[in-house]
Amino acid sequence: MATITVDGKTIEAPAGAPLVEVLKQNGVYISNLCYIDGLKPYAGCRSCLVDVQGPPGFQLSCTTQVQDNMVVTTDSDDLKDARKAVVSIILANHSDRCLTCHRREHCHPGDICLRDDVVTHRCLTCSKNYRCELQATCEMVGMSGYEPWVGEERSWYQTPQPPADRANPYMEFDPQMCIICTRCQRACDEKRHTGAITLSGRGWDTRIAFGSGGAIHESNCDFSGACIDVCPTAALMEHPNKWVAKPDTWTTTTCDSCAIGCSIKLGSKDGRGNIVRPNASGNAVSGDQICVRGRYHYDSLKPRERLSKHTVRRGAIQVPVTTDEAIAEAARQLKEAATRGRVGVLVGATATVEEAWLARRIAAEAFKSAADSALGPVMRAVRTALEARLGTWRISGDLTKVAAAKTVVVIADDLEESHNVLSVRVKDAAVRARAKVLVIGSLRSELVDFAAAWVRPHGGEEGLAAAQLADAVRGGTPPPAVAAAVEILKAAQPGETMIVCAPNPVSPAVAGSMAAGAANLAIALFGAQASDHLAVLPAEVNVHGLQDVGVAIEGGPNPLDGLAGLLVVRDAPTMRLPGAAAALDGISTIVAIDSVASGAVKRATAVLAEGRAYASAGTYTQADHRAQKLAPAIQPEGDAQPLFQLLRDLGAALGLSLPADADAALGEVAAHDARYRPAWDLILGEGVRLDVPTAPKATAVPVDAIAAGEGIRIVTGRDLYTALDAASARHPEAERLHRYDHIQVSEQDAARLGISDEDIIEITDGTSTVRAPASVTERVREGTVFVSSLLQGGAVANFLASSVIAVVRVGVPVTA
Amino acid sequence: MTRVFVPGDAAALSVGAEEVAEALAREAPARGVSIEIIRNGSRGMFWLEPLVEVETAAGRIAYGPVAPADVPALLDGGLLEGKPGALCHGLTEAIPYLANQERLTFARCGVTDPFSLDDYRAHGGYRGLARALALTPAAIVEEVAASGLRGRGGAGFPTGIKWRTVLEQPAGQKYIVANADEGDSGTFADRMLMEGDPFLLIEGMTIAGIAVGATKGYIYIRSEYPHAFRAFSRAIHIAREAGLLGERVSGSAHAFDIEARLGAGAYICGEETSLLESLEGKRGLVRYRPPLPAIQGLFGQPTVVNNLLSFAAVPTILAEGAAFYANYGMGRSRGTMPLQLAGNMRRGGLVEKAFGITMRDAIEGFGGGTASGRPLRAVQVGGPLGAYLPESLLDTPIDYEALAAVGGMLGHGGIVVFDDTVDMARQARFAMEFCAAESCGKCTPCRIGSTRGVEVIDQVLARADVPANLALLDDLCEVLADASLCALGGLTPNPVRSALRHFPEDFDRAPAVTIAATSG
Repeated sequence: MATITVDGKTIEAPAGAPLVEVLKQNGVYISNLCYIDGLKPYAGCRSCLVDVQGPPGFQLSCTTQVQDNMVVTTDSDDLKDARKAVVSIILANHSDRCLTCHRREHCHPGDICLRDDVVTHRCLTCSKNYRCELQATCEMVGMSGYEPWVGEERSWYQTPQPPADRANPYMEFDPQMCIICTRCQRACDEKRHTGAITLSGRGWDTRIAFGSGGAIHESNCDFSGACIDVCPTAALMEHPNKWVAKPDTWTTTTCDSCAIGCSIKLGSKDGRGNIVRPNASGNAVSGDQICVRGRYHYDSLKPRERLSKHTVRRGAIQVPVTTDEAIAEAARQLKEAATRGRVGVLVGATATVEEAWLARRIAAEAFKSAADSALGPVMRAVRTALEARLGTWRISGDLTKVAAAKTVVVIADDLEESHNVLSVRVKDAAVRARAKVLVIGSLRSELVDFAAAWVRPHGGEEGLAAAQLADAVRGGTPPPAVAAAVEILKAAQPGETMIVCAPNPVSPAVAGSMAAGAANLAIALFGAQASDHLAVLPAEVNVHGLQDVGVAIEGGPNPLDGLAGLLVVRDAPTMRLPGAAAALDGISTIVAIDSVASGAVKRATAVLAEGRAYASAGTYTQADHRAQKLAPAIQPEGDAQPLFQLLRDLGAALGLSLPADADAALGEVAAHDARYRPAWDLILGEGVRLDVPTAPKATAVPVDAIAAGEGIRIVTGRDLYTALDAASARHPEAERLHRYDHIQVSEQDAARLGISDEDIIEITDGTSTVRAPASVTERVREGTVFVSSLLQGGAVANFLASSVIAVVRVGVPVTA
Repeated sequence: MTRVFVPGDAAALSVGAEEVAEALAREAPARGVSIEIIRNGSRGMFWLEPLVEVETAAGRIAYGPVAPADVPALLDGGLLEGKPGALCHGLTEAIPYLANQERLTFARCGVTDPFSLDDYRAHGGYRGLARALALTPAAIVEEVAASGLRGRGGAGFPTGIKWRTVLEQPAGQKYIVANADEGDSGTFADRMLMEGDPFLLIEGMTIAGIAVGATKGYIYIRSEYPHAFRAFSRAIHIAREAGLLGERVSGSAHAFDIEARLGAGAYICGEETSLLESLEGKRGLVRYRPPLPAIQGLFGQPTVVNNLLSFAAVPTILAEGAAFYANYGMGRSRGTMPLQLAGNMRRGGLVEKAFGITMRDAIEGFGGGTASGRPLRAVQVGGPLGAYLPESLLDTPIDYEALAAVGGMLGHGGIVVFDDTVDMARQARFAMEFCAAESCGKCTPCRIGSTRGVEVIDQVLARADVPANLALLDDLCEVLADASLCALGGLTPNPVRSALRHFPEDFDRAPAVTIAATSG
């Protein structure tokens, strides 16, 4: 630690720390328009000037490192003048009045314009007004109201700028607003390792550009919005709700889009979400990063597209009813069904631990059944594979260790797409820790660019490939093709190696095989400590939480078999289970609780409208058993109620006494499972990692090859962009970029079959058929096609009825 | 067989040296004489290019400027015997322009065949390296320090101190980088040397590598110098073949090799940190300092970045001893400085003199005054960011400190002369315009401030509220000078402020009037 004096006050700070961060942390305002906390200084904006005793002239606080006995002045008149002078130069080239008006060149300050508005000064017509860092900087350095053009004829800058890019559904880039601080470029490069943003031109013509200078969506941008987070002006803005994102409430909660469970801040106005920002202090795995799903899927459907009324089926139509009527009718229907036979309960994996606990109690106490999930078969396949080898499905690997690991093994369909932020951490390891990354996957994922070795098995054989590598590490002779991978594995050191496995979300056979192969590999490398070096990432955010409270532990290969009645708790059987639509049609009583018109809702005899995860209070237990808190950030639409409340009231109508709120429910969970005690005790903070001991055993069990017929194999997996709830409702804009509503075909197969981009093609196994436009790409290997697990409402599940790898015929449909 | 020298230097080629050489090769055999044509470097007397020299018993006789059409008549008039006549200037060495110089660095340039190692050795080459190989690295560094050599790129930082810093860094990969991104207006010394005496530079860089423990050197050559790039690459190849570069330099235990890299076509890439970024394959953005390149330079490793002329001075220092070199010069500016006379100059070219020569001696004595014959009005020393100095300051000696005392700077030694038709307000505007075009785009004052400067000067030129705009211009200059990241933005106010100080009359009248008044 060093002691420094700032404006006469004594401050303790770590020696060598960037002075600008120390100043900010100690409440000393310092303008800095290009610095990003934690990254190397850029020293471009020149506004963070301070006076350090000793060297001549003013210093930049971003490039100054704290030294003991340093004496710093931040508030002398000279400094204030110097800072103002620098900011005035920035303002000289910052767009000002009436930017968005086509008539702006005809108006003068104070004119009354056709819209009966006074011609505005500067920020009033800017979408970032009142939340702009440049604006705040001007106020803080005493320049609000500063007019660079006083006394001149013009009142705007006449340098033509490239037109704004508003061509994609996620973000807008308006070069007029840009001050070339390059924060976006550095965030994209150094935080995301994407490098989609660059500087083009030079001198006065220096510009921020995406890719090689075209539209954002034509670059390799993955729309994480890390650039938006750091942009000090309105140059980079979220497209959705751009003009209204001035929240009255910011709520810290947890993203519901994948098992990383990134901590987010959701801004809302009048109960509706309008912006999401990462919450850097919440989840140590995600830190200050989220992905396109976390940032935009709060907005996956417009409020009017969500369920706002409870309904009861009368004949062929769904009739709106009050909440009380709906609960009573749902309870009546379920009780009636229970007299006829078995009533099943399906819980979706975006339900919280507390909601799942209620559902499980309803299943057990009202219907004497075990609550299951549409993901149940996949969950059980993974669990079985892990328990056979490690004695438990709760794997102790800590995901915060990925970013600093020296060796990272990734066994996944495409980690970049399924668990994006963890993929960023793998890249952190590769770039910052110079880790050797080994990717085992049939798809050419973006991580391959960061990998020291890539093993590319045939589709569905990732687990087998991992198990074979495990055998090779143990002493077998590796095939030459994987020799490099074996070398990396043999050099992997305990304590600095992580094996990350993201089992397939659709096929139980493939998912189980992947988990088994990953476990075998961990055992081969680290023996009894295997589980400490392994993380298994489930397909959805709260899979582990569901399993912890006993959901989906028991069950057969198809949870819809043999039911007289069904309670669906925000679950999507039609997206997960083969032949689910027909099976649902055969169940006479279906009570569905959901926020969207899912396949189950459409077939339900009673529908309870709920308010999706962001309306919930509760807990998610994510991939490495971090219990992350959710707080109600939005209001359910219309009559819809938070899911917990509906379950509680439904339970009451079924004659059960259930906990009154989420906190009480978590208390019951903690009593049932002591590992949840710290989560229940948590008062401050957004999450806590549950205690997961090293697995009790480490015994490799051979992994069998999965039988597959002749033909083109389907590779499936979660894609990065499709919204789960919108896909469940089969919304045409569930995937707004329209990249993954395509069937991806390899270049070789496309050439052989005469398929070009955008051709409508058909894949069929004789029973099921999916028709979609083709996208020819090197991402898929010859002999496979990739179909997103969420394409057309999860249509691909229908191909995976058996435990074999699905094989299809592919071609251009014959038209009559 | 008579030896005839026709320069292969880009400056000579640009005025037809190639055609002259062809004409000689064609016409001489036609007259039954066999000649050997040697493509030497330039002597640096550009008004005489193409300068043809003929070797005679008395020495080399100079003819120039020779046009291809002159060749038959010259041959018939006894060119090969060195007979006097039209275009003949007698003994080259006796031409006052050359005779009055003190050529250490450029001693061989134009004399030897640039690609002949034998020629280079015959004229004293590789004596410096031989001595260096006999010394410890620390002793080499001390020799350079004792010579008083200061960076010839512009900043004038003592070369010995820079080398010592790198030498003192922990062992590991270190680099030598020669800055040959010669972009200052009116400068050409780097190019002349790369084309005219490349082994000197290779020798200097090799000595530097041995001195600081670097095994790899890069030379970053301006992209507008394709001819120099080819010439220097060829010289590297020859040196490598001869074992003067490579795993065992001259058979010693030292490894050193050089790679020539073509620049990225930006003035800012001559700034040392920007140059390093560019060498690393990135956009040429200036880095902030510290860390100094000597501590974290190329690829984050300790790096000596010196101007090409600094390296070129080193072989002489090692061969003749520090005292020999330090014996030249004045004050804290030791040794010789290759000055480059350009602009409106009667005798443009290279003048290497010990520090202490006055600007007047250089411009009037060597340069012969303006080419137009009109009175000299302003001189810009040190490139586009150097101050504009009036005629009254011409007696200032060429010396880092003396020039700084009058608000000027030596820079890379370029001297550009303007006669009395120059509009200094336009020149001030040009300085801002230059900065706006050549800024790396990183720091605000340089990128935006310079454009704002152009506009404000335009307002002045349009006579709009001149006092207020001049005050604004002064403010802008202050921000540029104080808050810019590197010397480009920091020095841009130099020409602007000096023009304002020395030539205020040009800012107070419309440009058309200026020209009419001065030319009337």
